[in-house]
Amino acid sequence: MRTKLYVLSVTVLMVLLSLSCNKAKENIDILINADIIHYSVLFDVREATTGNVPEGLSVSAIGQDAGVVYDISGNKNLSMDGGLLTLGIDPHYDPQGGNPLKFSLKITGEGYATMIVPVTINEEQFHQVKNVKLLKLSNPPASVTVVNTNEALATNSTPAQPIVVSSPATTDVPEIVTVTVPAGTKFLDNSGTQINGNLLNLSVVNYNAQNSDNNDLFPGGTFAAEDVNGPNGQTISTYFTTAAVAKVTFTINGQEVKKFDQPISLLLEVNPSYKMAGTNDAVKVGDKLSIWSYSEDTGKWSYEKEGTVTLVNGKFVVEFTTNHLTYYSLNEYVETTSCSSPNLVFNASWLNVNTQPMVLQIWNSDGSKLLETNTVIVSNGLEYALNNLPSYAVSYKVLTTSGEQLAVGTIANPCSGGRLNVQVAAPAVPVVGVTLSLTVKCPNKGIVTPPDFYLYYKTAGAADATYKLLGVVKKGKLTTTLLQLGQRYDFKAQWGDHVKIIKNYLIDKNNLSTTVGLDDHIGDISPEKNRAILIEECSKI
Amino acid sequence: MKTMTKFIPLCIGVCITMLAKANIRPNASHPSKAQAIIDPSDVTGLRPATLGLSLGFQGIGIESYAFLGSRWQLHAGASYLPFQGSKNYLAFPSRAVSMNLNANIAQAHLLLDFDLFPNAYAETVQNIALSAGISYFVSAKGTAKMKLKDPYYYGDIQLSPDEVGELTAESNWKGFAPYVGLALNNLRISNRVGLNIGVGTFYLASPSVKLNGTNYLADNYQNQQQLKHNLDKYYRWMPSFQVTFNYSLINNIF
Repeated sequence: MRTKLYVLSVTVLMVLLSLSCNKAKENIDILINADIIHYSVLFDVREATTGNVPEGLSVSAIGQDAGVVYDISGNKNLSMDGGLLTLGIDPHYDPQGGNPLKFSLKITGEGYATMIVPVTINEEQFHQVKNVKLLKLSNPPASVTVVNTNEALATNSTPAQPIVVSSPATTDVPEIVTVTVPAGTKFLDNSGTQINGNLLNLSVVNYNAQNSDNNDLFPGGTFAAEDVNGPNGQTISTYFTTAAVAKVTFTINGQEVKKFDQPISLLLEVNPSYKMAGTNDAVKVGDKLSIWSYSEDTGKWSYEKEGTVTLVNGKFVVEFTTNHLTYYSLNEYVETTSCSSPNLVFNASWLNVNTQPMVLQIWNSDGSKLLETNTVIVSNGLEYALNNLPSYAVSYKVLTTSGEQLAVGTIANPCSGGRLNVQVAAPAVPVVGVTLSLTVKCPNKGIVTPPDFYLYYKTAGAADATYKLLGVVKKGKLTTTLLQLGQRYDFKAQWGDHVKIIKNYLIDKNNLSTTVGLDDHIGDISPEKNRAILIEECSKI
Repeated sequence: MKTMTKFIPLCIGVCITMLAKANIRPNASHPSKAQAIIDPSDVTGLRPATLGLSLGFQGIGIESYAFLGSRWQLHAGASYLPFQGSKNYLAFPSRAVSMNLNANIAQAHLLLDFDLFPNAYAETVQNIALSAGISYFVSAKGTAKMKLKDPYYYGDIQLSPDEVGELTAESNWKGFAPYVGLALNNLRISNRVGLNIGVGTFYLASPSVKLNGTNYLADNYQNQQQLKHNLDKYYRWMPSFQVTFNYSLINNIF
């Protein structure tokens, strides 16, 4: 009897509790934090010559860890809108200890030279910015020459006469590249099958290797290379010193030629100001430069052969033959396979709790050649893993985005890891900290903190090409020294495949809080689209 | 648990004290109604003091009754309910959770019964009383631990419910709670064993609420205010149904 009563009581209680649950959860929804992705990389892609945003680009992640790469909203299919793309790492595969993640972003587009940007993400390197310049073949910068020509082919789809194509010599690119195709050469695809047609399109892109403006256009955008097929067939990491680089492309009826049934000849002229890395002496006849090729399919470098500098018509040249087409480069190299990257520690107490994107330049030791340029979102005490260094001594400079130098120093042994303190001086312009807080009012969920995203800014009304990175909005907040009180700015944020622009926003106080909800249609997108974006993104959290 | 070790002896003490001070009253008009006694040898026409075990929505407990004279009866008691349950599907607007519920109710009460129909013809009707009084909930704590029922997809990235985290909602209505209800007292089972049935409701104190999430559920602290609002709005009236088996301290004749 008592047992039955107890069971009855408990049963009734459970029913009551169940009923009460429905009332207890009224107007409540489960919120899932939006900061699912911990590691992200922002790619900011602009045209090399104009700084404009290129349109119609295709992007894909390739390489060792490409399988764990998503866009920042967790989508596997990657797309680029407005020249911006933020990639994120599946949180199950965050980098641990000494095992950084490595992948590359391949960027292609009609009329653009393909760029494959290598990325290394170390533990606690949560945010990275990659500024990518794309070469528009129809509008190259002065430091690059492009020749594009058509040659008729015989009925057997081979040239009846030898074809000789040279890039033009200009003031900014005095050295040329000459390609010679013997008569009767068959043009083959990747599988070795002959491509038939009556017209051969030849494109030769010649980069002035001594001009630092072209650093970003070098394959991969860096002279450091990993997963390289070395001289003895081994896989190594290297750092190149480049004497000449050219991209040679043939197509027949739009199909790219990959191979030939007989060798063709390439001749690359070398600038006489080039100094041999080992001796620092100017290049001379008899010097050895190794010939490397770069695959636009895989983003990997391969050692081809050793070249010897000769003198032809008063020019230093290296001439060689090959049976396949791609990028070719004359390099000296140092192996960096067993190197450890040093960590730079930024001491900038004047920043207080603010952040500021800065330019970190790497120069050779005597400061005569710029090797690498990085954008770093600096906070006081930030540790930044400096990858992509050679094994020999280099110097560094830290600049504001407007070019004011804030720090300079040397890295005596970039190959041995360790921590290096960088004392960052306060800029001449008085520093004013401004905090932007952004929360989102999700339908039926209340106010939530948005996922981390990168925010751009420009003076209100200025050209779109002048947008600069303001920083990362972390947990809905960004504190920066780049905004001036009383000024109006245009802001741009990119999230997944959405780009949000807020124009003519007045910074009228140090602490600005904004909550965006269904009925708050700030920005330049139509209210209906704003609403759709908010509902779509809120459904994820 | 420490609270309970103090609570149980305290309640037993209250009951024994009540019994010791229990009144007696001659019941001339209704000799069938027993009276509490002082002298067990003189029981004719008296309603006895009783000590009993109770079972009900508030759990298992002890109960003592003392007749105060005329139509009034005082009873005091205490109960304790440890409860565990689970619910595999609880739908929120955008996703469902599974929930483990742990409730812990411990209360002591002091109630007055007033016989509503002492002159009714039917004996059962004579035993219907209005009950009212006060209760103190040493603990009225509910803890719900929730996890997503299904994997969560952030875009194409799948996270298991364990990875998403656990959400713990804790509420406690600790404090004084008035009670009102109806009682059906003194239903005889044997000479010394009777049955009391009580139905009523407590009006609980305003609950304290905590909402804590782990991992990716940490932002749910924002729901704490709404949860408290809901519990305040819908969950102050706590229904009570209690059956008490009484044992008369004398060999009673009702």
